[in-house]
Amino acid sequence: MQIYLPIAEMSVNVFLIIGLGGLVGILSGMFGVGGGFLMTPLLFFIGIPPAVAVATEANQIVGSSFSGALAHFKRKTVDIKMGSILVLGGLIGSSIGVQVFKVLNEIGQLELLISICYVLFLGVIGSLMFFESLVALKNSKKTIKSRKGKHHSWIQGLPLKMRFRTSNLYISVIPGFIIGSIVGLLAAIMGVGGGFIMVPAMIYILGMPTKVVVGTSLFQIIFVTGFTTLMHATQNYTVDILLAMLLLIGGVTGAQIGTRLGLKLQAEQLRILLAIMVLGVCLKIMIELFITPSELYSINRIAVS
Amino acid sequence: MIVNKLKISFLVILIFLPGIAVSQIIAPSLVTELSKKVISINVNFTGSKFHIFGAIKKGINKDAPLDQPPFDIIIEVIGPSHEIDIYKKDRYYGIWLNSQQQHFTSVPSFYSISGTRSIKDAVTPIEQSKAQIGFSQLLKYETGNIATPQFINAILRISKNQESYQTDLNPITLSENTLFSTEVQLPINLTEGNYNVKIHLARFGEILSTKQDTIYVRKVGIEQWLYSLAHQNSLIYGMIALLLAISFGWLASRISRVFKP
Repeated sequence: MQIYLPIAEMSVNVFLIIGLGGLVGILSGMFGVGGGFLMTPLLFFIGIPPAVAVATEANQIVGSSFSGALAHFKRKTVDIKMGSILVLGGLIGSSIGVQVFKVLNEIGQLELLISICYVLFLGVIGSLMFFESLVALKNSKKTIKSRKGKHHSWIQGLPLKMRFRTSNLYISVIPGFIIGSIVGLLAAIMGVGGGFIMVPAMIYILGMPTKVVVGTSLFQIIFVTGFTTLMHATQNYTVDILLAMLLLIGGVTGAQIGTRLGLKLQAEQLRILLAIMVLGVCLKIMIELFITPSELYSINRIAVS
Repeated sequence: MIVNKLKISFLVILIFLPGIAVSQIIAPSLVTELSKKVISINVNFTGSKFHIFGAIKKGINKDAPLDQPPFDIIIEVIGPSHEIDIYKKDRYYGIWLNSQQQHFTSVPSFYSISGTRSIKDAVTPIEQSKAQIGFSQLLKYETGNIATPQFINAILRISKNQESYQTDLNPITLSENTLFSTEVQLPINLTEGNYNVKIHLARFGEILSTKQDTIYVRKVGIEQWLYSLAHQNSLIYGMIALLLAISFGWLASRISRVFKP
């Protein structure tokens, strides 16, 4: 069954889109990641214009992270105060990101920037995850010391300190604000939620307890991707509601299946699988940057003349 | 005698007043019809086709060779034009990136040409450029900028790959030297707007007559509603997108609670 997307201006197979949404949903349910970093490149591969893919994926992430955040609110594992600082930074990062996006689209370098961002972030995070889980698998018999977040001394020296009760922290708002803005910037440019960057940053840089990290990151993602969706919708007209709905139908269903599957698998095996997948996507995008393209020319439609 | 005199005076008129004389001869012309006037892009749009039918009305002056068959028919379908940038990738430090750029103020989003013979055989190059027949004739770039042939060829090649530039179509058959019809297949990635249909009647490389018609391609129903909302009330559109996403998320968490073991 084909459906015509009004903004992407192309006809797609409904089951293909729901299926892709479902597949990424299963993975995100299994691994507890948002899945934007997999979904956006998949949308590129099936021919959705990158500008539409990025903006529409932001819209989808609003829905999937909202569903996840509700559960964390119930368990009271959201640090709303720290979340708000992250949101504040995120909104500023996102506004800059949407402008960068617009300018680069006009000068024809958008796809290059998106590709480079993906290669860099997926490459670094995928490798880190891969080696960490390899080490963990080897030492699986020994009990691993749970890593406790360490406050770096330079972070302790920063001004504008605040007390965050839920996280049991007394630190400056500056690092949280900066982390939030970087994530916002990436959300706007890459069409991702940014949890894969924010979660490690919250643990290792801010020193937040692991149990509040995921909920707080989801809290930030809802607002930042929501804001990004609005910015893309009003400045670039690239949010495709029909596409977002199809992805959500698949994604929401897939996430439920994935969560159940995830319970049956070992955590370390899961992480190594995820790392391989992240590196796979990274490699695919990287190869495309280096091999000679079959068509050297590309057309960018600006307006109806 | 009187008849002869009349004949002579008629000849005189023919010789000295060609303007009047020509009006006595009716040039061959075309009668054409499209199978559709409007193409609607709705939710289940997967491309569309339409037919062009026509007949040649032969000229009245049977002595003039131009009015006699064999005729040639050339049919062009021209979609709405876009302003475009075209980029060429070059390799820098191993990475392929867009480096050269050219700007075209007008490039048709769709162009198809078919005929009883290939355009090269049917119409002389001078007539072609006079009547602006051919995809490359329609490309416009800013004055002062000279478009290089490589860039023009790239536009033609890319358009051909996307089926938005169609040349190698089945030849049109002209039955009884009068009736003709052809089918035009419009691609899936169709641009909204007016599609100009030009039907040329030619003979000995010269264009005798041209008939124009328009086919309207419009988004309809929810496609039209969403598209215009997204462009005219983008903030409201964005809000709806958010609201829908949040309701989906909420619904998902409700459902998961119901099914929780």
